Amino acid sequence: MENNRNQSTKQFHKSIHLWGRITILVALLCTLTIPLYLTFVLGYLPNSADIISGMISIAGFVGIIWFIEPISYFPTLGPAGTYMSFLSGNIGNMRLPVIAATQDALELTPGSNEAEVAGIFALISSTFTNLVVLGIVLVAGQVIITVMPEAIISSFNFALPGILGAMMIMMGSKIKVPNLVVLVATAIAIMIFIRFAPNFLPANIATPISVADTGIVAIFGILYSVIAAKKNHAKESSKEA
Amino acid sequence: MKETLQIANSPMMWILALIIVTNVIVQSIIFYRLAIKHIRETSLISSTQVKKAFKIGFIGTIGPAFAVFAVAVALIAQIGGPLTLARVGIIGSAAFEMIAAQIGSGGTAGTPEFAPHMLSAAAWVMTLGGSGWLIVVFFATKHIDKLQETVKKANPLTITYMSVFAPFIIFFTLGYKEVVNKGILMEEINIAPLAATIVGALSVVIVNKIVEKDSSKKWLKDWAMGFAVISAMVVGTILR
Repeated sequence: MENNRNQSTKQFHKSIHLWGRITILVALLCTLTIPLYLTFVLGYLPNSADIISGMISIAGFVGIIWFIEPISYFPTLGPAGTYMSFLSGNIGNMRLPVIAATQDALELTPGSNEAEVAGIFALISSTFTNLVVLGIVLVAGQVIITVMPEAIISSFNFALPGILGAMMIMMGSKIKVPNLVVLVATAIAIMIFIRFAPNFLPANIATPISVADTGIVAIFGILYSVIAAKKNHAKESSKEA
Repeated sequence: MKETLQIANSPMMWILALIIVTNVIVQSIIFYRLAIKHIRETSLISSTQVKKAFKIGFIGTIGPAFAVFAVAVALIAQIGGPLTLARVGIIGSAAFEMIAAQIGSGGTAGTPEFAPHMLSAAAWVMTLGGSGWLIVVFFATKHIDKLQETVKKANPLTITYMSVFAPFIIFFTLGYKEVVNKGILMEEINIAPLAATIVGALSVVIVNKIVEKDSSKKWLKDWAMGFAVISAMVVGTILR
């Protein structure tokens, strides 16, 4: 039985990577159809200088996040969650909280097989919910904006801070106080550093790091996990010894 | 501008956008089947847990999904419905695509100078800009996974810590940005985001306390995010 289970888990992970990569690649090719259609079918040839300068601005703006986000979100999302979340977007404000809340409510160990499988279902429903809301915006967005009182529309701006407050407790309650203090202090220190970075770093360095702030902080969080685990590992083995 | 938006909202653009969105739906179906098969073979989680996961996915997304409403409506007015659907529905977020559209169109999106070839340039920049994530995920995810397995074998504690520390510090930083950068450091100090965050945190504390006392009320945990969102919206709006 245990053997079967391992076999199935191995097969499952293989399939996740295979289908994850296929779907990402196909989606990537599909997204190219819109600019290709505009340029070569309709013949609206953009100035190549416009595209190049636009790409340089975009790469300077988000280029570093392309690398940092997939790495720093991986411990939470897992392989399946990574393929799904990066395809559907809106990771920080929708996918990560949903994953964390699912692990919390179902009492699953983060990073475990159970958590990964449950996360797939949570992400599917999260993605579809987002698409349905987007559909409503497309069909009736303008009407709703004019009809609804401004206070109700803008009240949704507080949804994310509320969720993040909830997440800090859900995740924070699983962490011992000394580690919690280190993590909070690290995050605040980096955020302050990034805020004042334009004063002593050239803009072409300061801008990309300020855009990648969350990812950079997360990398430090991951590094701290490695250090803390090493320390406790040594302690445990010295106890044994 | 008018001609540009007619092109942007043409039937062919809608068809392409729908094809792009179909990718997400197809991926969801494939992963759903893989997960169900895996559960059937291992009974890793129960069907009640599956249902709960679906419920939480919905509860946790509905608030933030409506929060992008205003930006999405603005984006539709600038670059049309199909591109908005194709870009915000998958890969990107409304805020990123708004900036990419502006950069790509040389700042003309939404202005009378927004000519069709600028729409084309904006589409290129948005698409190539978003493809960076997909390319890295395509190439790197497998290696990151392997690396994590290696680390797990060397010292399992590392993964235990990582899978709690990383999300915590991410949520803390995102929260810090909402509270400090968009609230306290604004020209007119705004404490509403801080209050919303605190209320959101409190609702989880309260739910946890209730469940601790009476474990038959565990179902409240499924709704924790919903309580957090609603109370944050109410308190944030009052203090605004």
